[in-house]
Amino acid sequence: MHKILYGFADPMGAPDSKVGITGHWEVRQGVYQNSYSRNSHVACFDIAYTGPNKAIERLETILKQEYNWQIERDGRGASEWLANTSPRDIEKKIDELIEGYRFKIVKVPKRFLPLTVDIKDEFNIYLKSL
Amino acid sequence: MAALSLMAQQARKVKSKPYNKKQAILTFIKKFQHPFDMRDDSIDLREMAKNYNDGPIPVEDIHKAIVTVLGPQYHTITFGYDPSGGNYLGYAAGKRPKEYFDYIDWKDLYLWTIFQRDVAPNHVEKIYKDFDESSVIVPCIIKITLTDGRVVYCVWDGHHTIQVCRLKGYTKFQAWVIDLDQFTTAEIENAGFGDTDEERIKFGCFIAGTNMRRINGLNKRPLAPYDDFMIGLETRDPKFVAMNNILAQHGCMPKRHATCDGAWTQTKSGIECFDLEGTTGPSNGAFWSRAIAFQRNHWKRGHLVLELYRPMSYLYAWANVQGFVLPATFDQELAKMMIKRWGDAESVQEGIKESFWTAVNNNATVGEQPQHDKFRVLNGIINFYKQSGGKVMLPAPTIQWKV
Repeated sequence: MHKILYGFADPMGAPDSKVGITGHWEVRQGVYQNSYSRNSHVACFDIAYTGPNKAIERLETILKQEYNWQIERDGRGASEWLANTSPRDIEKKIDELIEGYRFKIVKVPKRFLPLTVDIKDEFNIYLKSL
Repeated sequence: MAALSLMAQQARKVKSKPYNKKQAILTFIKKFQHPFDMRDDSIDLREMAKNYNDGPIPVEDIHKAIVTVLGPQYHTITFGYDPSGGNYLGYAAGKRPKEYFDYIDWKDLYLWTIFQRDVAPNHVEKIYKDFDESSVIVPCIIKITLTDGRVVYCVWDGHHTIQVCRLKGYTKFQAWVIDLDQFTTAEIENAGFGDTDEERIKFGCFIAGTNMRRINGLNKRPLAPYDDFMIGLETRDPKFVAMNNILAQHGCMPKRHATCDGAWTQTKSGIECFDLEGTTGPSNGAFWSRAIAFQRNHWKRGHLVLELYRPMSYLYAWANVQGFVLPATFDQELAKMMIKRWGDAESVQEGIKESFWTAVNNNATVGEQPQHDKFRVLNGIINFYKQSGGKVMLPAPTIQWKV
């Protein structure tokens, strides 16, 4: 079983980003899309990584430790927001962590990014090929 | 309508921003140059001390950190309670506070089993052998006037210490005294006891028994192995200094939580590895050091993983005792195999354990089942290395399975 670790910038324009993990990425995007119209913003993941469940869970834990001081609030919906951090910052950090920890986690290729439900079929074929 | 609207506006105005612990901690930390971890179960005082040139920290600053973690319900608590009763020892007759320090004669000291446990001679001996006058924690005593008029000082905490002091020839015994005679009838009645001498004594027993359980049971915070190690290290315990030198050599450090690179958190298991013996006697950490290097050289990031460094320490010890030479190239070869198969260090030990239990459930093991994870992983490493085509001779596994 593989999970996805994703990150995206605040669609409302704050210089903050959200990170999270999911085993059902389309469902998760649907939850985000519920909060605003597609005419305002299409829910998407700016960066994404995939790998075995435990490795992804561990990567998320470590990432949150690394960004501990950027997580300004705890509690549901708040503890995954990193203040003043862009998806590019997070991507760079994750790449370092994967190399340092030797995680068996792969970066989702750029051709799928930003990941949206519009390319669901194509992306799921890619996931199955791993 | 207008009045209603005004009320609604006022109601909105008084609605305060909800308290958020993380935000409160961040605001507090910003006052310091050097950040430190603040959690429910520990505030990292060693890191906090870096804001005070690694010297003493005012307890008021620690107190502020504590109430920040505890939350707003503790922010405005201010008591004007002076337990000295306005005096510092040398109390005026008849004007003692309810609790005070004193020195008691041996003949006046008693033990009332209603609120005390049995005495353990071997515990008395243990304290005796490690005794120092400067390390006596002040025993706690309740002063009771019995119905026949005798005044007795009954120990409710520190009885073993008092017995050791007696062995050491003390003639006076320092004590923290609760003076039952200083309690008013109203106070005793409010606690549910009656207005007689017998009831007053029962009330005294209630206080002593409740306090005894509070101190020794309910609110006791045992010394964590991490704290024991750090205090030992900073007060120059030779073994802990040697262990810390090994850790430092590999860019590691003792930590309470595994939240940074090189953090070592399993104190007791580290001591176990340090103490492993080789052919010439105690290894003094030689096998442990190599096991730490094994992880740190091949997995640059992350905390030390117990079920990697411990089984590897045992592997080096077994090889040494059984006369096998494990060249440095073996470590590189094995780590490369592990990374290819499982990736990160935690996944290595998880993967080996998972394969063990799968084999056990499928009755696919040969040999005696190890009772501890360290030997499951150790055997798994030996099996895995051989099955992956490793050429270096290793000690034979005590159980075999397909990893």
